Amino acid sequence: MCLTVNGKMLGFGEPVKVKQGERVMLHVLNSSPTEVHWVALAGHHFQVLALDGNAVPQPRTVEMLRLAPAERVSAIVEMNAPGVWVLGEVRKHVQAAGMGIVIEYANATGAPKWVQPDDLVWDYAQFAASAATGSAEAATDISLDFDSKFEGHGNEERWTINGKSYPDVESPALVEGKRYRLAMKNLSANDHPIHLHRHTFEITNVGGSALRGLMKDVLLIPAKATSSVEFTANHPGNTLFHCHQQDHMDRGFMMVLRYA
Amino acid sequence: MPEATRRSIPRGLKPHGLCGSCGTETQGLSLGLPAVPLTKCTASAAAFWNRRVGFVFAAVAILFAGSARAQGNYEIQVYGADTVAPKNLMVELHSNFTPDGQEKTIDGVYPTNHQEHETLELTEGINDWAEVGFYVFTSEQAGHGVQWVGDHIRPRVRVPDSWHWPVGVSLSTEVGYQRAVYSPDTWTWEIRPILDYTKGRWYFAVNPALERTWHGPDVAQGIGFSPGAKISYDFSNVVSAGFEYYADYGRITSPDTLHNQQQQIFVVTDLNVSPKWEINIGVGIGPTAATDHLIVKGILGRRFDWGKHSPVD
Repeated sequence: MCLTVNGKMLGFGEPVKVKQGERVMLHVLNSSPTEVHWVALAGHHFQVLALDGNAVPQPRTVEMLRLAPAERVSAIVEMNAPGVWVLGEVRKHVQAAGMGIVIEYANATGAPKWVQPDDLVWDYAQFAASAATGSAEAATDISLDFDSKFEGHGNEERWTINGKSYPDVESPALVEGKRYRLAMKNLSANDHPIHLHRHTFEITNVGGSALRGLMKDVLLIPAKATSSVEFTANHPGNTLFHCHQQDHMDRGFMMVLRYA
Repeated sequence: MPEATRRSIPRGLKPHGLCGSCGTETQGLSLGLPAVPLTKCTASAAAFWNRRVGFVFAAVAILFAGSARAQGNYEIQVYGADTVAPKNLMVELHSNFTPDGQEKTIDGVYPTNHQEHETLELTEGINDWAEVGFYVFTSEQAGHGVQWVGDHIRPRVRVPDSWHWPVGVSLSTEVGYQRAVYSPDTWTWEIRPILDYTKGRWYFAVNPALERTWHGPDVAQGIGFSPGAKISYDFSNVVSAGFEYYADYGRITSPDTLHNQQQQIFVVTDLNVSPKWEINIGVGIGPTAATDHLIVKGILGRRFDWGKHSPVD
C-alpha cells in the first residue's frame, strides 16, 4: 500500500517552499477512508486554530496533529527553523509507506530531516472552552449504542446502531429548531469516527469529561468509550449519520435523521 | 478465529493391533522393546515418532514398570497455517487420556487403557512468516515419577499475509531425538505441508504429512503417510466446534489395509476466550483394530508477548 500527501509519496513530489519568518497556514484533511493519521512537522509546531472548519475556543500549540478519516485541521506553522524538513506521519511504518512531504526553506540544501516523536499525542479537550463556560441548553437525548455482530471468523462483522444495521436501523425524527444530544456508547472493540451530515455539532462530553464550545462534524470515539455531541436541527432535510470508517459504513454503520 | 486456536500438531498413535504394513502384532513394537522384532516390521519407523507421545510414554512405561506394557497416548492437533507472531512465545500443554484402549497386556506391553500423558510445546515466533517449535516429552507413570524421554525441534514457514493468497499455506519440518531405551529409532524426521481456509463460519485445514526415520531399525522402510484434517464451525465469537481426523496409512508406496490403518475421528471444540489463550478439547474414537477406541484430549496454550511495543512503530 502506498500513502501520499497531495497525491505524492514522500520523496517523489515537489517540496513545499517556505521562507524563514513566514507564518504558513496549513489546512490538513485526512482523506483516507479507513486510517487515522498522526502528522508532525520536524523541527516545528502547529498552532491549531480550527477543527473541521470551525474555530476552536482555545487555539493551542501542539507537536502533532491527529486526524481520523474526514477530519480537518487548520493550523499555523511559524517557519523559524531554516533547513529541509519532513512533514509526515509520526508512525514509522506509515511514513515509510510514503505519507510525507518535504518542507524546504529558501536557500536550504541537504537531505530532509525527520525528528521521531516517541509517542502519539492528541486530546480534543485542550481546544475546548472550560466546561463551566456558558450554560448548557436543554437538549433532547437520542441514545446511540454502537456494536458489531459476529458473522464468523471468515467474515467481516456487521455494524449496528442500537442493535440494527442500515437500512433496517431506526430513523429518528427531528423538529426544526430543537436541540438534540446524541449520547453515544461505543460498545465495540474498534474506534469509530462518527460524522453528521449537514450540521455542525458541539462536543459536550468525551469519555465522561464535559466540554463546551468545541464545534465539529466528525468525532473519533475510542473503543469501549462514550461521547456526547449536541446540535440544533436547523437544516431541514434527510441527514445522514454514520461512521466514516468506510468498512464500517459499508457494513451497516449508518442511519438517517429525518425532519418531522 | 485467533491464530492460536488454529496452529496445531497432529499426532496419533497406533497403540495396539496389527502392524500397518506387515500384519505383525504391534503392541509395543514401536516402543523398541528388545523382545520385539521391530526391524522385521515393515511399518514406517518414522511413523513411530509421528505418534511420538504415545510411543514415548509407552517406552517409559515399559522401562520403568519393569515389564513390557503397551500404552496409548497422543499429542493430537491439526496445524493451521498461521505462525506465532515475532517476539511472542506460545506455551502449550497437551494432555491426553485413554478411557477405552487396549485392556490386555500383549507381548509384555502395558495396555493403553486409562493412560494419561503430558507434552510441553514451546513455540517462538521469528518473524511474520516463520516460527520454531520445541518439544519436551515427559512421561508420568505411577511408581516412576516424571521422566524425560526426548526432544524435537520444529521450524515452520508460511506464505506471508502480504502475498494475499486465498488459502493459508505453510510448511513444517520436524527433527527429533528420543532416547534409545525408549525407541530404537533415535532420530526421525517429518515434513508437513499445511493448508487451511476460512469461509464465513467454516474453517478447514489439511495436513498431508510425510515421515522418515534417519537412524534406527526402520531407516530402510521408506516414507510414511500420516494425514490430518479438520473442519469446524463458529457457533459464536468464542465457541467453535467440529471434527478432526487423523490417520496413518503406512508406507506411501504400499498403504496398509484399512483394518490395519490408524483411523481416528475426534469431536472437538475450540474456545476463543482471548487472543492470549488457546483451548482445545476433544473426544475421539478409533474404529479400526489398530487404533484406541476412545480418547479424550485437551490443549491449553498461553501466548506471551515479550517484545517492547512503541506506539510510533
